[in-house]
Amino acid sequence: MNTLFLTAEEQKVFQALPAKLREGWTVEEEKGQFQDAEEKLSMRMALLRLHDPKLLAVQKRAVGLSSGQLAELLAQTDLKGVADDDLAELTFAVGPSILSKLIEGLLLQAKTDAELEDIVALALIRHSLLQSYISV
Amino acid sequence: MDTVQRSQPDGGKKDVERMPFKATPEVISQFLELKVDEVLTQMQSVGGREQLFVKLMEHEEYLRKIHDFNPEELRRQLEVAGEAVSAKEKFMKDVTSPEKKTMMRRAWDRMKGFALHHPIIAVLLMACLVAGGYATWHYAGNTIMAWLHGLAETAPADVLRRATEAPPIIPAPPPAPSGPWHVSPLPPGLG
Repeated sequence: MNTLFLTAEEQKVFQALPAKLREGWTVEEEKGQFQDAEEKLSMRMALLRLHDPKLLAVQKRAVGLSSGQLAELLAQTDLKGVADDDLAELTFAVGPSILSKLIEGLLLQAKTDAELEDIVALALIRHSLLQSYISV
Repeated sequence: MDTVQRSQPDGGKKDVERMPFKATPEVISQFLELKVDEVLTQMQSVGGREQLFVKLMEHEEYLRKIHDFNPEELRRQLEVAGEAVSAKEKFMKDVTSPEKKTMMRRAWDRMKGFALHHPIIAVLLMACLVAGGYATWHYAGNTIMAWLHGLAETAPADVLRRATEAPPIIPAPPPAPSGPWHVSPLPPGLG
């Protein structure tokens, strides 16, 4: 998995990385587009369907917590062992726009191949998200 | 404030704010006494959304009585819902397809490991997890939605810093007589 799906803007950021870091990576242009809105984000949340009992328990426990308590709850919850389907559900809820911001933010700070591998994964998931909105 | 009287657990009545009608699959399912899956299927086509619109509009008078209700707003919400439902179906099929399963498995494994060196990804997903628990029934913009959406408006150089700030408080839903939702089911015989 060494292909990065990057927008034209992201490709500029990638090209500004040291040559040694860019070596071995292939870039394909991400042409998908999506205009997000708070209402669309809200609807995606309304469509969230999770099955992992651990995640469902977090949802219940989160009701009415203060931000400090919520942060503590989130810190205690990790994604290891969560089924891929549930992760896909959460990622769809996040949506491509927020992922794009993360990708560009991570690219700006990338210093190692491992960090670029993380970006490859995020970009691949974003690519699938954007493809899903084409001809909807 | 526009209010409507709601029954309380103690048998009394209380004036509560007239809430907007939110066309989520669960709300429509409860209101029209249809299965959620049936609503989701109808939402995916122009004809199906029109059928839902017509069925809901048969109860316009009742909806206007108990909700802040606008037919054009309903039509628009159904469009937003339809787009999301269709896209989600395509996405879930794509990422679980046999051709992509191996590739996506590596991507998901990578994402699961993010929490170790990119805690903000975990925070983001967890925020969606928690927000999703509320949005099923009343997808009014709440503080966590605004926080998530705000990330999409943030300059990339700042997004990682901003995402590490604690997500806002998620308020507990107001008490309801028979469930954690704001939709009053139709009176008997109107379903």
